[in-house]
Parts: sequence; structure tokens; C-alpha cells
Amino acid sequence: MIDGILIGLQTAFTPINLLMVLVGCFAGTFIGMLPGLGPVSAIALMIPVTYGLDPASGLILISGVYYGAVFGGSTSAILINAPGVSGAVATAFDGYPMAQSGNAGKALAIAAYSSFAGGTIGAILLLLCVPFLASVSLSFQSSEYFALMVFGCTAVAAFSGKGQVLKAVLMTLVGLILATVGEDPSGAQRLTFGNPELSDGISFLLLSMATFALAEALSMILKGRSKSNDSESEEMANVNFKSLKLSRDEIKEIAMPVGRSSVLGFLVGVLPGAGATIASFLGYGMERNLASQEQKKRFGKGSPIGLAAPETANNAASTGSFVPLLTLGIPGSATTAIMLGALLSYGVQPGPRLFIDNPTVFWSVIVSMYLGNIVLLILNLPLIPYIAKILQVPRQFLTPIILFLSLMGVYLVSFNSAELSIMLVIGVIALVFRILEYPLAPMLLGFILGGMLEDNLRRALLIWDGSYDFLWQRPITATIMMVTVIVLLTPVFSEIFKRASGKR
Amino acid sequence: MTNFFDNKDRVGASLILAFSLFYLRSSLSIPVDSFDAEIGFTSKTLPIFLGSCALVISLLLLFISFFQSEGQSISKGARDYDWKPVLGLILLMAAYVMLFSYLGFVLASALFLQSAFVLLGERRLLVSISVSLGLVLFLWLLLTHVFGLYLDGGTLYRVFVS
Repeated sequence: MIDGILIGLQTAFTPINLLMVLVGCFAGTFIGMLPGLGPVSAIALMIPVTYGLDPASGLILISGVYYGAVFGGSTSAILINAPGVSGAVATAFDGYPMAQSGNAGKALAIAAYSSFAGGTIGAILLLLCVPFLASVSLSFQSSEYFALMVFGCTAVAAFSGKGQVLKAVLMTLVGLILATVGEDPSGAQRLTFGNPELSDGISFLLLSMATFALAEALSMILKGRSKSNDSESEEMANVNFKSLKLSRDEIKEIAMPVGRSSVLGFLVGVLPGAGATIASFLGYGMERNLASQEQKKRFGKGSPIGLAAPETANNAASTGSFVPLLTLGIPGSATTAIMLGALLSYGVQPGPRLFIDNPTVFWSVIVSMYLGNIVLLILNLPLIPYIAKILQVPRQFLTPIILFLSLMGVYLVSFNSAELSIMLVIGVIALVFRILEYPLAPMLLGFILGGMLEDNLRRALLIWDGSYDFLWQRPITATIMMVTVIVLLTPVFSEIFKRASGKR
Repeated sequence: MTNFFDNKDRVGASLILAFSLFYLRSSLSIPVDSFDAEIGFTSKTLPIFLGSCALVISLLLLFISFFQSEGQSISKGARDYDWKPVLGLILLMAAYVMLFSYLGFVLASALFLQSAFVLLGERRLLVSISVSLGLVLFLWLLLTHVFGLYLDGGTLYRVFVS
């Protein structure tokens, strides 16, 4: 492991990769700060930039964007009560009242220190977990991978929002369906309808840009958020940053909650589908329950614990979500799903063999996560009063620029304007499904896992002479499949039951 | 009939149901390799399975939607939506995509951005033109001169040059 860390340090500390961390953190903070645009959109927008880089640098840049976007989301939640990401909603509960009371600087500092602590503890746990889990999963064969892919698809669907399980399952299926377009694992063409643009399948970049960046920007306008940032600009102008320093008592007060929320956040983040949002709410809830009566009264009115707990938990969860990605090759969240897609397009296969076949990528990503946290703390925090000026940029400028950059992002990879037409059509369909409240993240996840799922199923069937017996005769496969069925059916049945009985 | 379409779940499920039916029909006509047929897993095995699952689940969602109370109404939510600029932007993007190869990167992009700024309510022409032209020219310089990428000048440019 020491060798690995040294490899990671060596790679992450090259000038180009240090620059990538810096650029990633800044770009992520800018994009994440814009209400409506979260880490997924931020990463989608940055993927075209990474195509010219080597896999390690590209992934370091993307990781930086991820952390930056999470940080940026918290900043807008604290300053103007407009969480840029769902994971920052709980941050606004106490962060915004604290900023309103004239302590915006302190609130941002607590958020930054808590995020740093959460990220640091998360990175240490990741460092310990990943090689161990990866070595265990080295014994996996195609049948286990197939089972894992199925689990990855269903887990995210099952963990999705209340009343959304069936829709999430359906959208995962749509993603899997879209993944079958183009060349199949045997090399044969299918479902291309004679269209040469579809012979290589639908591009991951195109789909992610269309469903997230494009549809998200259009959705912002649809909900009237394109022109109504006058109040936000006004609010920003009135923000009093004061000092970014914390007193010894304040540090003492948040120290234990930060420690507890880090571990909780990391564990929640490891679970496929749970992610930063659930972690932040759990962190907030846990600390509220553990707080003394006096501290409890301050929750919702600018409590440092109420701000530190969700911030720590969501950052630790962001780190934790890398565990299933790096060890098993299955993404635990929409953000890591999009990262998986990016890795696959670099020709890097995440999973247990990653740290053997591509140790440079593996370790440099882990080390750069830590670097990202340091960059956010040392550089972004003092610069926040200036970076936050982006919230004052009129939306009538920002939204068209986002649309333009999304279109350009796809064009600059393929140099094919026909792809832009496909992107526009998919973007409009995605907007319709957004309006209908069908979750799009499971679709992207299904799309990314679809190819690998079919590939591994086909290989397993080849090994087992066309028999599906491996599903119950290989113990690990059978266990994963069983867990999958339980995870999927429990919320499905409870939702069907609730919906049916709720009407009567 | 009006009520049928005034439910988010129902409309979404109907759209996916129609898509699944089309997909299933297309999947059935995927040609099969004889070697794949031996292991019982051909190019169409997974598509047929996925299409069938999507069909069943969309039907299930459609069925459940009839037992739902309000809260899923499309018309209620849509009242607050700002449709016009969205439709305008979609049309602008379609025009941008169509005119891209004719007008070229610089002209098409600057026109798209400028039109979009105006569409979203920007009335300071000097500011909006500076932003649109400035951004596009900066990107053009960066991409062509720093990254060495080729960006299509467009048919119009070639006509003028020749």
C-alpha cells in the first residue's frame, strides 16, 4: 500500500496534475454554486475538456470538479439559501440563518473545515478499504460481475426518492435499452435502423450532456429561474462575510459531531444509491438527536453543529461513493456513474483489477481527492467572497452560455454536427421526463452499466455452456442476486401497497 | 379524456409503454448469429428481455396511476412554467445546429448566443453583443490557436474566400 501511495503522490504532484486539481476545484465551485447545476452537470460539462488528457489527469480533473461542485453547492446554500445540489439542502438549514445573522464568513469557514475533515477521514477510510475490497473481489468471475451490475442498477433504483421506485426502475430499464443500440458484444450491429450515426451506439458524452447539462439548463428557464436572480444579487450584495476565523470553543463544539458524521457519511456513501443527500440528512438528524436540550434549540437558527454535521457527512459520502466504483466497478451514485462512463471512454476499466492494471490511475485519484480538499480549504475558502460574485451574473447570460458550452462539448469530441441534432432531441425528451418527474440518473446508470452487464452475462453463459445455473450454483453470485431481489422488491411492494391503500 | 393526460405518472408511463412496444418490435427482427444461438444468448436475447420488462413495468405504473390522488397533475404544475423562452431556446438551438455547417463556428455561435440573450430579456445590446462575440472569439482563438483544433469556417466563409 505504501508503494501505491507513493505512486499516487508522484503522479498527483506532477505540475500538470496539480494544475488539474486547481482548475477542477475552481471550475466545480463556479458551476456547483449555480442553483440547479450540481456535480453531475459540472462533470458532464468538463468531460470534453478531459478527452485530450491522459486518464490519470482527466480523472484528477473530474474529481476536483466533483469536490468543487459539492463545495460550491454548499456556498450558495449558505449565502442565498439556494442549494446548488440536493446534498446541500441540509446545509442551508443552519448555514443560511448563520449567514443572515452577519456571520457568513464563519458559516463558510465551518462548512469548509467540516468538508475538509469529512473528506480527510473519508479519504483515510477509502485508503484502507479499497485495496482490501479490491483484493477480495479479485476472485470474481463474469457471473459475479453480472450479478454486481444487476445489483448496481437495482440498488440505485431502490434507493431513489419516495414514490419514485417504479419510475426509477423503469428509467434504469430505458438506460439499459439505450445501451443495446449499436454494436453488441459479439460485434454484430443491431437497432441502428440503418443510421450510420448509431452504428457505434449512442455516445455516453452525448447522453450525459443532453440529459443533465442541456435539460438542466432548460429546466432552470422553465421554472423561471433564468431571470429571477435579482433577489439573489441583492441578497449577495447584503452578505456580510466578516471573519473566516473560528474560536476555540466553536472548534470544540463541532469536533465530535464532525468525527461522527464523517464515519456515518462514509458508510452511507459506500452504499450504492444512497449518496451525499441521504448522508447529509442522516448526519443532521443524528446530531440533532444527540445534542443537548440547549444545543437542540439552536438547530435551524444558525447552530454550528447543525451546519457542520451535514457538510461533513456529504463530503465523506462523496468520498465513500468511490469505494464501489474503484473496487467493484459499479457506481454508487449518478456522479460516480458519470465518472465510470468517463473512465470507460479513456479505455480504463474500473473494478478490482484497476489497482493492478492501472495503479497510477487508482492511487493518483485517491491522493488527488485529498489534494482537492486541501485546495478547497486553502485557496477556495479565502476566495469565496470573490467567487460568489458569479451569483450576481445575470441568468439571461449564464443559461445560454451553459447551453452553448454543452453543445460545443459534444461537437468538439465528435466534430459531427449530426450528433448535435441527436443531442437536442434527447435533451428535449429528457426535459419532458424531468417535467413528468421521472428520475434521469437511473437512466444514465443503466446506460453505462448496460454494455458491461450484457458482456459479462454472455461470458458467463459461454463458461456455463449456455446454462443459467451459475445464478444459484456460484455462492457469491447467488448471494448478490438474493440481496438484489430483496433490495429491489422491498420498496417496490411497499410503494405499490402504499399507493393502492392511500387512495382508498 | 382530458383527465387521462393530466397525470405525470400516466403520461410518462404511456410514453415509455409506446417506446417499449416499438423497441420490442424492433428487437424481434434483430438478426441472430448461429454460434450465439447455441449458447442460448443471441443479440436479441437481452433487448427482448429488457423490452418486456419495460412493457410490464410501464403497464404496472399506468395501472397504479388510476388509483392516485391529485398531486401528480401536469396542468397544476405547468401553470407556473415559463414555456415561451424554453420553446424559443429549443428552436434557436435547432436553428443553430442546422446553420452550423453553413455559417461556421464563429458566426453561428455568436448569433445563437446573441439571440438567446435577447430572448431571455437582455436589452443592453452593446453588452450582449460584446459578451456573445467576445466569448465566441475567445473560444475560437483558444481552440484553433492554442489547442490546434480545426473549427469549420462554414460554407458561407468558403464562398466569400474563394
